[in-house]
Amino acid sequence: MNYIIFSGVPWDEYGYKRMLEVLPEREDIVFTGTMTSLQQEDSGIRALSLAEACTLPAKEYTALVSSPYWLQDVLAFGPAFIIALLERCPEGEDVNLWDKYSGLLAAKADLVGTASERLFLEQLLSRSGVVYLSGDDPLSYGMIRRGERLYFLADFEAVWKKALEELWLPPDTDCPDEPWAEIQLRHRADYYLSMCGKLPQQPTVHYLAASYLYLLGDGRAAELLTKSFELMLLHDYTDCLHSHYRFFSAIGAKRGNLELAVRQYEITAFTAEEKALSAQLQRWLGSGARELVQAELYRVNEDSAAAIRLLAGMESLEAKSLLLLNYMDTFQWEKALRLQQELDSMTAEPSSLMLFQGSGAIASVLLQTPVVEGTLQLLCGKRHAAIRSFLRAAGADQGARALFAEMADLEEAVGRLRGRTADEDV
Amino acid sequence: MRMSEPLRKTSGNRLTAMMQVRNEAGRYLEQVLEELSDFVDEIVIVDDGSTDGTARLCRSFAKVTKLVTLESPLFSREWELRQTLWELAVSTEPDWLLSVDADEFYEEAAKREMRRLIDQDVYDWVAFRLYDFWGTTTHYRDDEHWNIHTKHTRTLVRYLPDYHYFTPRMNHHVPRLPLSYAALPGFLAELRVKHFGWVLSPEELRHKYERYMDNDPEGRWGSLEQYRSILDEHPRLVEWQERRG
Repeated sequence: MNYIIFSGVPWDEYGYKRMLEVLPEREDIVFTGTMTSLQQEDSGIRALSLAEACTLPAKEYTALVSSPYWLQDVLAFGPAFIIALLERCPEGEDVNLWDKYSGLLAAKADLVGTASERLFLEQLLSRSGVVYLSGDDPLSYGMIRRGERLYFLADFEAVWKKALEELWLPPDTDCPDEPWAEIQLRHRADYYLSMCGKLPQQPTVHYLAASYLYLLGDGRAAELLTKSFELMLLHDYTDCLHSHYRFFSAIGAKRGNLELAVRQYEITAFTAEEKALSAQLQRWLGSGARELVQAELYRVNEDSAAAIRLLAGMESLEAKSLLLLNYMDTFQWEKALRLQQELDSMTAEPSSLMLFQGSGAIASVLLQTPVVEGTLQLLCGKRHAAIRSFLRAAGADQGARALFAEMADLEEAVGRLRGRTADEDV
Repeated sequence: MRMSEPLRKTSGNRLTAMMQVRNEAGRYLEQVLEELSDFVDEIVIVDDGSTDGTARLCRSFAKVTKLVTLESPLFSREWELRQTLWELAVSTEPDWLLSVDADEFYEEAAKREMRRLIDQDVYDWVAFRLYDFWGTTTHYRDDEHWNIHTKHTRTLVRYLPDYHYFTPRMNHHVPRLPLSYAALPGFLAELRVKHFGWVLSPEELRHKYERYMDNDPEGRWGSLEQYRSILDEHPRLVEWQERRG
């Protein structure tokens, strides 16, 4: 397998060298930027400038992208697969811009990896195909031989290897192994359950144990969350209503106890929009639209991944409009635009979409459409089309200025990135 | 199942007062029950093993709808006592609960405002300023150890049926209402409550001090300094001023 690396930093600062060592069946590996001859020799990786890299047969390469500001170049390159290696915003970068383009990179990726547990959990709630690139298990979970060298794999390295192999060779559905994503969730859940035993007064470890158990669909999640809630109160950390009670409602939704889950959501509903949603959930419950209730409870607990899995197969206008919200929240904007066009063709007028939600969420999505179109055009290198979309989004007011400022910030960030990795490309 | 009614109602809320009592006959209980009967809908009481006429007195008030008399006192197992009272109170399916001691009096302004305080959907609890009256019903104590009135005490809470109510399992100094309310939005009212629990003669104060020291000789549940200050010969007392209007 061939890989091309789009790094956010020069080679000597590149943080994924060990992950490169354990890539499955590695053949040609290209670093986009500069490396010394010695570095190339030691690592078995060759360095190419961006212009040179673009001449490679893209469909034979998997791109490992660790800065969101490479996204335009990666899309222009068009590799067989994109692996997003997400990091928290580095010092000196604009956090909003970084997070937005990290979200867009993750949405375009075939696989997402991150060594940040916070990002790992956030991504698990947004999509499937997410690998945690760190771990706490001292045991070896396999080995890989490359030439004369033997590498013993940590649990997450074994998962990383398996996830990459499955990009090229999807698993055999006739005799399936345990999915790698589940293996990793189980490892994390076991780790935090053992930590709860060691730190019985620590609310965060109980919360994290509950989070992994929830993702596994394990009934013990509610028990651990309850313990975490009590510990939060005992430590006088009282800002835990949303973090814990929304989560209780999602756990209830996953277990099918929707009546309780809706009432638990209502406990956290204080704003006009939250109260309107609460009333809508009650109406859906009353009319038997249980899947819509379940999906919305997932979404308001930021578990768009579960909501999307549920809604993707549904045909009703309401289900599709909820799916649209989830696509928007998780930066799956191409799917969102396609769905919006489909919805427009299903309804007499676009505004009728708003009637389903009873909240401002859909209305806000409709207003954002030109911004979304413009951003996607920008990523595809269609600068003029993007400017036209941004002007359309701004209308007669001065809103265009912010969009153009963001565009300029992105161009500047891309320029800095290229400068860091390869001076000659600036 | 409740489908149409919102969880937080802006009108028609039912208020249940909840109290635990023990040998209160001849003190303030009768007056407290009279006053409560004017502004709450129901009163529930746990009698912690009284040996005087407390239970009979409680039963004489029409609004006392539930009274549980414990055969043996739970004074030294306060968590269990609080839990028993909580379960009795929520069995009345209240919208709001007011936790009252048998020697606490809400000032007139607080009683007048009570319906406005509960008929809203913005916050789930209300805290008041409690004043410890000392030796007399005209003066409250205000010094280093006795200044509870400088903070707010949560006594009025909305009952949310599916909320997780957590009370720490301690033998003494257990909060009068579940800690879980701390996570919900609340309102700090500038309304006052008179606490007559320390309106005692010097002999009674000494007796109460000895009881505290017997129960908690090492100061595990409270401050030994505060226990000792019960015997101060010249505590700083401030005259209570009623509000005008």
